[in-house]
Amino acid sequence: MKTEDNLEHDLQGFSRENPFKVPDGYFDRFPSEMSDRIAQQNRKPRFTLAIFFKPIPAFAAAVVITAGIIAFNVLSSSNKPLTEEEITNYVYQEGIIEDLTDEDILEYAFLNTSKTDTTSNREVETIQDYLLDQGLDESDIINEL
Amino acid sequence: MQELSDREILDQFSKPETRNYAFNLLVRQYQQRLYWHIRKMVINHDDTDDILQNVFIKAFNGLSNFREDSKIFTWLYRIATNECITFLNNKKKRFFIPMADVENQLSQNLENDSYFNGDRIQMRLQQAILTLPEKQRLVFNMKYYEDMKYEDMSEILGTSVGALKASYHHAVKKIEEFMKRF
Repeated sequence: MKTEDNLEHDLQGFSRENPFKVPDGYFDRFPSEMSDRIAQQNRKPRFTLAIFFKPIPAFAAAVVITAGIIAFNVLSSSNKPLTEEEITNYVYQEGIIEDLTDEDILEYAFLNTSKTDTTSNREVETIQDYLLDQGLDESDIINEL
Repeated sequence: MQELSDREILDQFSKPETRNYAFNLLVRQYQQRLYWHIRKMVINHDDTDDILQNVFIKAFNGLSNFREDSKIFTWLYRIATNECITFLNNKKKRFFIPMADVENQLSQNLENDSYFNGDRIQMRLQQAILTLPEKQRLVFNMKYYEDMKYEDMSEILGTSVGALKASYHHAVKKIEEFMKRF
């Protein structure tokens, strides 16, 4: 009867001899080749996380990283154009809106109509209505436009 | 060749002045067994040589932290087995081929291998072994060719002795079926 212990003898008629071979002298050379590789590995300076556990290099690394982050932020933000929303917020927060005269608003409307297409005409009409409500003369407004 | 016990190797390795000597003895002591273990999995000599070197590099880097809850021999086998599996998986990923095709490729390599010494029946047996799933192939080689104890295999492969015996049994059956068609 077959038992678990004699299962390995099931494969009858086949040699257990190793059919592979190696180049001549391979196992004689291998230990010295291995020693050379280890020596080579030990010569190479290795970067390890251990640097962060030494106080002085850790401080130096922290300074360099912080300076890098600040420089990146300054350089990346200085060339970035402001959005319309940022400008609007700034104008309201600084109280600039209160300093603007009707002429300034009119000038803005005039500049916009000269630059933009017909889609902004509706904005001009809204401004005109506002100015008329504020008591400005219609002919003055038309002359300015 | 002088054979050292695990304790002697670790003691010598822990001293800077005898570290290289101890490591050299360790390589001499285990190189052949590990080589054949890897070679039967990856077939090609050059691939085996690369993997074996990686195994010993990892052993050198990890030996200082080696905890003696296992034998050095089973620890080295575990590294070698993992390296083989990683190598075969990388081969599969690199060429976008399924594992079955990797095994077909290994089988073809075998036919063209100038370092294969076996006759036609041995060639067929190797091709039969290559049809087995990776883990079953490991189990079969370790038992059939290396006559390793199931307890040691269990420690290396992290599988229970019962499961290993069953796996070996299935492997033998599959190989017999394959050989009958020959």
